[in-house]
Amino acid sequence: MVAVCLVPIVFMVVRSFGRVNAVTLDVEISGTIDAYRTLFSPTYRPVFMRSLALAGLTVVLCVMVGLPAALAMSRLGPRARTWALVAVMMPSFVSFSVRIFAWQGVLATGGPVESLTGLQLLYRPPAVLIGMMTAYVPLFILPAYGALSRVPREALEAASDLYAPPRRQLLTVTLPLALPGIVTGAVLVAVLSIGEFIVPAVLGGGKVLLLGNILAERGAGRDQPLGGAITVTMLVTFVLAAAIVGVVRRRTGHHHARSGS
Amino acid sequence: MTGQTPGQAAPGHAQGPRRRRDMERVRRTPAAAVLAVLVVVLYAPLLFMVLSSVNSNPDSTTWQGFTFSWYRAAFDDQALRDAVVVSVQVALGAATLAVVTGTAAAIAARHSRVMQRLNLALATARVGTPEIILATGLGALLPTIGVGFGRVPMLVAHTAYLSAYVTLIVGARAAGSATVIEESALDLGATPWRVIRDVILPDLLPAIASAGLLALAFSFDDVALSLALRGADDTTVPLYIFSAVQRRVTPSIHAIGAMIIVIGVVVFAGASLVNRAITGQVAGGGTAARQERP
Repeated sequence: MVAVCLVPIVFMVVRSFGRVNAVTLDVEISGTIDAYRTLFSPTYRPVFMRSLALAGLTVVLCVMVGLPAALAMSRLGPRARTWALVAVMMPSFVSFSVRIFAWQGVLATGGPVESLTGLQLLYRPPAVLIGMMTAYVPLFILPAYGALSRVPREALEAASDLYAPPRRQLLTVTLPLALPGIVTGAVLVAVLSIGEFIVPAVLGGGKVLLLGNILAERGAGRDQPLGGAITVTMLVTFVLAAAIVGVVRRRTGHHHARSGS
Repeated sequence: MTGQTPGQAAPGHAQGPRRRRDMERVRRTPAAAVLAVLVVVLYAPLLFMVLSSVNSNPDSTTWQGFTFSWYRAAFDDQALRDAVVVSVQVALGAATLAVVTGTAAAIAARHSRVMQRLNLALATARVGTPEIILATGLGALLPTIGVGFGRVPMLVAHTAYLSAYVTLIVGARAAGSATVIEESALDLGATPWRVIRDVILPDLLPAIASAGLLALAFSFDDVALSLALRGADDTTVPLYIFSAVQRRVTPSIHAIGAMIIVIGVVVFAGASLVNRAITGQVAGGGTAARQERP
């Protein structure tokens, strides 16, 4: 089962150093980096930047919405917490494509959002962002909430005894201690949203072209070297993301160790 | 980041009045308001879909009375019925295979710390790699090695991806389980198979159940792998919805969506109850298990 996952990816990495023969349409592996040149050429650069921007904005939105929500959850009583957690996670049990499709109805012309606010959002970037945020924010909240609820009460009481105002407690005690969970959540959202292609297809009306769409539509067929180059680029992004999580975890670990001694 | 959420971080004093005062303060913070709005935003579109599915107005712009006709249309749709069959076949098969292989990997790795780490690292890497990469890779690889597309490649791909989730969930449980009992059983003359059957598996059962349910839901929901590997007549339910949505939305799709929403909620509630019954926790394994879901 590991091989079934590994072999195709290695195959695509090899393909990324190839070129499509214009006559036979076969992929010739010649060690060229043409595919990468194409990916970063003016033709595809907008797609690349758009994918990065969408992933970045999704992360920012998820943190903006998810962090206060997770904080509020971590301050609830034990019973209320469980209910809040269930309420936030339950939609994730409903099929992803159905959840995204449901937004199409709400945002459509003549739908509730348009009749209430007059905003026509469907098939525009805001619709894609709303879909991305609502789909991924539970995945941010789960690790962030986990970390926030594990911040030791004693640390906050100590800060309180030393007359730190609530805001200062939040910024200097709670958030730094919960940072690994927050970063894990943010990286999880970033990794998932950079490969996304369903949300843009359904809520962006197919007009918002992303790396994931190119991969899904052409990566396996006539544009294998380009597909390979996208695969490699995404993999590099993920390794970097994993490295960030690792560094933050280790730093916070050191921090704990030092403050403990 | 948004407003700095100047809330009182509730200290953990257990005295009644003080605690209640803290709770009051919690409820009025901007952070709590964000949480409340988020919950509304998460459920509003689902609720709207359910309402649209019983609204006689096919555009669902205004309410024009109750009807079940969209459901009748959905049930009469032969293409959709075929899609349900394909989805159920692939999901049941992939979830079963993923549970067997994933659990076997977790059990096999549990005695050696190195194997356990390697196993978890490989599973994490598989879960962390987006499906679209695996889907494209398989889609490009299979024709070059002379394998055609169809339900079997779909099944294998789903299994390969899902067994990583199973390994992670079951492996986490296996790592924390008591090996003392296992050793006692072996000392008392139990065969290794008997130990696996009577000691290890019952201990892992809650994790296996959560993982199996997750795999089932995940496979049923998958678009990327199925889209890349399907044969001509292997449309699954999400693929049906996906292609229908891109062409033209008919009210019967609202009915399908509403049914999937209800099934999702029922499965979630059922999983939480089963989990509670087995482990005494509320919504623990199922919820935690869900976190890696793209």
